[in-house]
Amino acid sequence: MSAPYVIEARNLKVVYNEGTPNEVVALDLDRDNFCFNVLQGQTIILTGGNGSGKSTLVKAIAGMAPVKSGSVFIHGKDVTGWPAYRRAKHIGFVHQDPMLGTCPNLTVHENFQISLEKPWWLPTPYPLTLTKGQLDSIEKIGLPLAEKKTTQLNMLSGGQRQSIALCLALRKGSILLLDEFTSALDEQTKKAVLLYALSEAKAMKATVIMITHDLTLARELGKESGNVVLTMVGGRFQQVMAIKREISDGIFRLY
Amino acid sequence: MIISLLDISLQQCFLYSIAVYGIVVSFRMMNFPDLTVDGSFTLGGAVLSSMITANYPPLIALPLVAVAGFAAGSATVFLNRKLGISKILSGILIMMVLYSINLRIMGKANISLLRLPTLFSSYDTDDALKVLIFGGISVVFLICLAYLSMTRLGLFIRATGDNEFMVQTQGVNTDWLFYTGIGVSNALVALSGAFVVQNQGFADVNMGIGLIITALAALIIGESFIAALVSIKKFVFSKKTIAIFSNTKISLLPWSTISELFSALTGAFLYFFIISICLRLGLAPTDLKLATGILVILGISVRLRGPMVETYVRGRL
Repeated sequence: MSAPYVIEARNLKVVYNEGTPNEVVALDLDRDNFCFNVLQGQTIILTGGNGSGKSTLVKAIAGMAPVKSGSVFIHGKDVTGWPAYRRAKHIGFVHQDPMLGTCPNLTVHENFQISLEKPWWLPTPYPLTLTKGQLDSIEKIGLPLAEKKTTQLNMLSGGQRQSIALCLALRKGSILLLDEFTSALDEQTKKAVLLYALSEAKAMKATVIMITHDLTLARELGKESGNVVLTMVGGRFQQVMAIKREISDGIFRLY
Repeated sequence: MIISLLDISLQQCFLYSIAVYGIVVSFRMMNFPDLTVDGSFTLGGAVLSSMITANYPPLIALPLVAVAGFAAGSATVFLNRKLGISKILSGILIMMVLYSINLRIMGKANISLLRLPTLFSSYDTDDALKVLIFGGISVVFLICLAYLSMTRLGLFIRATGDNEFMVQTQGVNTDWLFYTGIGVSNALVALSGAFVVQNQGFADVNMGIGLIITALAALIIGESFIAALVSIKKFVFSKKTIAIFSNTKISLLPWSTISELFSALTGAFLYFFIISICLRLGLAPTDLKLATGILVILGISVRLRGPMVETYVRGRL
């Protein structure tokens, strides 16, 4: 298996509510040995209308969608049968819904403690101080959280919670999946948090797949080297002329 | 008269408070409405009484009681997580299954422990000493659970009850956390049943019926009471004191869980005190369940309103 690809999705097909009248084919990349690949350190920006399969693709990679056929490889390993929590060792995921990424009834401090890389079953007290890296990331997302460590997260706004969810996800793994996570943030914070996420991912040499509805932003980001903007329609990738041949050959490949 | 009432209600409250701690773990920390406890309470009593009648010392029986309770809780979690049965229904199923199992363990519907060596048989006549011993046992369990909530394991148990999805995206298999949490909860309830059996001198196959309501009643009364205390505290302490407190590391401890545990203890006391007063005033013992039901309804509906209290009590029922 060629090693440089961090994510490979082969012939992936996702069907919701299979066998019922509500059956929906949300993602259909199942044709002619088609393979969607992402290189180490690459940033993929997915755009497309509602119901075009962007979120489904990202969820299928993270293990949260019912994959009907095809397979997902992460770091060359077949993870199709893995549940989401096993893949989470490689993947940081920020969900569209700000309520899903954090624990509402726990404090800011406790939420940050959960993301520490230690076994969950340790019967020893968790530390009452945050690590320097955590404090730095709190500072960088520009939220006045340092004094609010004892605040429960359901007292914060959706945007603040989403920023914390981003901080928690950034600490994880080498792949960052951002499912349109800035939709709850106001315009100014939105851009700052987004750029912070991307720059931090670059610094960590992480691979990013980001979904956005902001086409101007997508175009802007697409100009930077290493970033690729892809458009999806009806569960498939649209042919994109703007992408140079060598890049598109890397991403879409027959195996 | 008041002294004797206090004696009885304190003894009962300390022994039952261990079961209420179990309810705190399942209902509050894990957000799992676990109805297995009706069965595992009796299971604890059944295992202990049959071991004592087989001439085993009670100190050897107690660990086995805990293991049996843990197994009962794990069975409920297994039905819920692996077989996809809803939380409430899997609790009810295991509760029902345990009724037959308890009868098998005991061999008959009622076992008397009269003149057999139990943990408390040497203090039978001294009520004050009994209160002290039971109180000690209850406080030891309270401290252990408060410590658990401060550990990383306890943090993950609380987080799983709060937002399971988030814990999974952090790379943890939440099934294990459910097995641990609900197992510990049922082990506590079974231990409580074992202590109650030793105190009352007999085990009955029906003794666990309605325990969930008793324990929830105690917990809710305690929560309302502590919430009322907190809202009074706001007037007693100045803003400055609170500010100093909230900037120290102590404030980072899981106070909401620790206060739930204290609510369990105070609630258990208030519940049994009210019930024994009612009995003394002439309430028929058969009307006890009705009185308990009314207490629960009152406890929930009379809860103080207001933002501080609302977030404090975390009304989840």
